[in-house]
Amino acid sequence: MFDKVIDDGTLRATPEGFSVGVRLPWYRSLPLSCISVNLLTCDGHAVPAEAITIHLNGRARQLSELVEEIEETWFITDTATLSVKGAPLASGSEHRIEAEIEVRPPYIKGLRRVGRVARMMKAA
Amino acid sequence: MDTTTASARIRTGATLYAYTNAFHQRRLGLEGLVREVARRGQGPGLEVVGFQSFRDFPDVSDDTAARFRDLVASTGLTLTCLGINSDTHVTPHRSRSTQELVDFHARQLRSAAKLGFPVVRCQYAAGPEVLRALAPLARDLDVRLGLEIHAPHTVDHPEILAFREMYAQVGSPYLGFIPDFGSSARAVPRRYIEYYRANGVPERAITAALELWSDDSDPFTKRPRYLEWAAANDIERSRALEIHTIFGLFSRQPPRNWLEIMPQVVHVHGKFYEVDDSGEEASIDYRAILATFVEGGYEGFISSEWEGHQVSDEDGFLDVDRHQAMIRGILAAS
Repeated sequence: MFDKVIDDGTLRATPEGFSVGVRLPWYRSLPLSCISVNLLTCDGHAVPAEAITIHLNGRARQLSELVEEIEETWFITDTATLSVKGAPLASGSEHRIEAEIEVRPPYIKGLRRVGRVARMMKAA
Repeated sequence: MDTTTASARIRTGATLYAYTNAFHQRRLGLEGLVREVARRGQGPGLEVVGFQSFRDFPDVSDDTAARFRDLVASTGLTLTCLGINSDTHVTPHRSRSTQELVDFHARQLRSAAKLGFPVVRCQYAAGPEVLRALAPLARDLDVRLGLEIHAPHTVDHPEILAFREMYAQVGSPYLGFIPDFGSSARAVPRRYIEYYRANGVPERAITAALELWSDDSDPFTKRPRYLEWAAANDIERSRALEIHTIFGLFSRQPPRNWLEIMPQVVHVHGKFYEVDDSGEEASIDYRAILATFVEGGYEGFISSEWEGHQVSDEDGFLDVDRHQAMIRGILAAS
């Protein structure tokens, strides 16, 4: 499960840059406040956190806003889309995408688990 | 104890947690999983984790509850337990207050009643005062609260003793325990060791972790002690963090210690990792544990709770088959 953080076939070239779908590496839904996107890279270049918007539950947020959302959850079968400004990709080109998602299950103080994977993906 | 008695008193069941991979990988949804459990005869007990299976949890809508009850009724399965969560430490800097936790649990308890579950699984992070405050609501809803005793906790750990003392004061039949067999393991599962090896944990770090796991010191000190050892021995921190989870997943409590709380056991998590070709669980001594539950007169369900999904992509169905065959075999012979 910890290597399932990138959703197959979700890399898209967008007018502003690119987007990719990510999954929650945990067995249950968690409050957004218990989740971080620690890393997103494209071809070895780390995307700055400020350039990433996360789309989930019909809303778009900056990564820094997640920690405030105590009531709202990420349901475990949902894909969250990370959209990136800058770093435009050509449609049909192949890229190595790496992502790390951290979960902090709130019933065990101090527990952190990370899911991380790198994949070769073709941009649609 | 004669054969019919042990097998009739202790019944098998499954928790959908065992099939986490099938759900996470979107191979089966909630309805598909429930029907598959019934079709494969992996009941009759059915346990569900609220925050895994229901999108609107900690609440559930009337429509969701009605559809779930109809689904379960159509399969002939028996609802055993709803796993609820004590989500206390909601941000790195903020923890819910006792009253906020009572309210958060009450919502989940009402959801359990609405869905038709007779028991909820609670977690130690709630603390005794939250469960004390919930006892009247549990009675009104006729849903029992089962505090899970999960590794690294054991029946005599101070945090569990605090619940036992509160239970003795309150004296409510709606306050009970749910043993998780991972607390009384005899070895670290082979699958985990292989997983760590495949994920770059060096052999000397594995050896040191297994030695520490097997010694008789306080299990709650083993995680920090292991991380200290790893730092002093040039083990990459991310690899040490990976393998140090074994100190939280499996404890070495002697099986007979479960007898201390047996009259208060309201449900059981039959945690397991791998039942081998000879029908044995090498990491958890089911013969000794089940003998203890038969001796203690436990009546109720044991949910097959396969946790190998943390280190494997399998869907869990074959593992649960083997586990239930093992349990039935042991009970029939006891």
